[in-house]
Amino acid sequence: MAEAMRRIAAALPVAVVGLAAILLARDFPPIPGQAYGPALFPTLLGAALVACAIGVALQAPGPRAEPVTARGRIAGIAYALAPLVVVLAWDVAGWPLIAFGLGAALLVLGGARPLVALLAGLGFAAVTWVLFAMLLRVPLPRGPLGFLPY
Amino acid sequence: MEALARAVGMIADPEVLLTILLSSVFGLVVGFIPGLTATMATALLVPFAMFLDPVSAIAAIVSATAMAIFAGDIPGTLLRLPGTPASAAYVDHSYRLAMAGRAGEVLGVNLVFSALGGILGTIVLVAAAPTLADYALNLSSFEFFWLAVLGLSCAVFVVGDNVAKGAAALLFGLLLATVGRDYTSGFPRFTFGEPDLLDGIPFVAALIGFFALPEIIRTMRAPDADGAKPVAQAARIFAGMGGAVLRWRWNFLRSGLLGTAVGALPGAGADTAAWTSYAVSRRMSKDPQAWSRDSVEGIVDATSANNAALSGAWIPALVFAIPGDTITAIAIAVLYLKNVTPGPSIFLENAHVLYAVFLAFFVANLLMIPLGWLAIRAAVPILRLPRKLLMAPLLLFACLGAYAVDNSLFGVGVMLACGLVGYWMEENGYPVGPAVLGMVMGRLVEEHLMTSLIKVQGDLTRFFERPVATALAVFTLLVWLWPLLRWLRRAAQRRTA
Repeated sequence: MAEAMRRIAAALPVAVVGLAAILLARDFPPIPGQAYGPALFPTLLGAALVACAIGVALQAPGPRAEPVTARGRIAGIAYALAPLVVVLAWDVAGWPLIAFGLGAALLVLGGARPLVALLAGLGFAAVTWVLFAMLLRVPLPRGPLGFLPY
Repeated sequence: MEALARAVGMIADPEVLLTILLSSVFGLVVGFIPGLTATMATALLVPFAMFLDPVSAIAAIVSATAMAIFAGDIPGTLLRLPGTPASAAYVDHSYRLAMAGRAGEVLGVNLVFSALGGILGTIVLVAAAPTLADYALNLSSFEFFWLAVLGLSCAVFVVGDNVAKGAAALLFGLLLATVGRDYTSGFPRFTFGEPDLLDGIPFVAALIGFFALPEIIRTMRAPDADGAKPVAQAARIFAGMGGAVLRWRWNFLRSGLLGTAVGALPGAGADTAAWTSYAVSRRMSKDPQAWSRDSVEGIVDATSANNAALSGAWIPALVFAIPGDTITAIAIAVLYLKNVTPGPSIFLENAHVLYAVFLAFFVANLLMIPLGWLAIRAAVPILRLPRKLLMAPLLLFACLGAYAVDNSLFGVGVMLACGLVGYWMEENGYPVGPAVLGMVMGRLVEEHLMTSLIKVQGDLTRFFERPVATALAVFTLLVWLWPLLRWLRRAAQRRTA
């Protein structure tokens, strides 16, 4: 039963993507005077994805993932969601504070000592600011640190 | 000749040389951190490449990847942890000899034969690419369509054992490539009213997500592996290398050529080349006992092949715009973004750029000797650093890279989405490589399909009219029928046994 669920879990998202592609492509208008239009390629791909999903569902599932410790799970989730924090804090905090704060927090989660993490976060904020904002002219937000040079 | 002179001038530019030097150092650092691949090095380099001219951008990618593939041998030899998958084939062999007090010799072999393998691969690339391009100029959209389909089909079969999952990954990548304005009608597809998607999914952000984020998450979830103690290495890594080159010259030539050929197969990268050459080396060794006991022969073969494969992958990339591996897929995308269109016409329109790229290969492989030596000297203290501590700066660097391409937070969102999808794919056994190949080639495949269909007014039989197109279609069919034929053969063997 558990094996069947794992097979379905691995195949279902592929089938859903394929079916969604077919359904959405039905609304694409044809090219006047042509038998084929912008819907052809996505429809073919969608149908092939559904066929692949059936193939995956009929196969034995792959090996189970290695067990993860609670600390590893938390660190994994924190690192996966860190880009979301970057997006949300971008305008409010600015890049230097994000690099410092988020960088230090992620380092602590990775096992660094707090003081080392704070110093590394500071160093990373400074290096990326000089490299991206000042040398490559990428318009990074300053946030509350409006005095920083571009 | 004029194009060659221009190319020499372009490469001799101090800015280009500095770019090559810096990206080489970057490639060495990424390469010898176990778990970080040459593809990830390329993905993280692309945001910088966007600020460079086409030659510098490609030179940076070429240098970083060549160094990363070599540098992967260093932790393989000293820690029994391959720095990149391309070193995995011979990691046990290298480590066993290192434990026997021969670490310096093994690292010397790795360095010298990696550089020589890269140079041999480049010579083949320089010789083969223009000849193939001359021929390719006569091909029509029908042949290009079948060639692209054949290339993508090979990628599915080379990348892993599970054909259904490999094909699903490829199809998903092709589907992602359809997002944005349609090539024939201009109609926006799968954009959901989002103007940022009209020009398609931002490729650089997507590939940073696909290659960097899953690796970072996996590293953080893995149990702590700190405290690894590298084997102490001998100081003189070049001692006896002249004799080794003479002794193993035929092995080097065979493996270099084999690696280049394997690299030219779409989907088969440096790791496949190393495994293939290592297996061939074992089978063809004149002294099988010494081969498995105390000889460096297998290492010579595999380490020459993986660096040669990097150059080989550029042959289909430059001639047919069909990437040989994920690295060249990224490089092709960079060329498109820089308004340089790969394909046979590049040899006519941008010959000087092409020659400059060839020269960059030679410079990078020659530079590998001194920089590689320095990297080996610095390796032991760096390898003692816990790998998890490198993930935070890498993640923030990835976010910055995804943002810097278009100066838009949309890129960071795309990176996050593709990273999570990529993580799910790898956790469920779907390879990410074919998805990226599909993303790069999707537009090309659809363009050739639609152009051909419009030409023949929908008559599919005319896709098989031209002899070369028919041959390519038959090859494609055989590639897909191969698992079935293999299964039938096994069943027949079981019945007779």
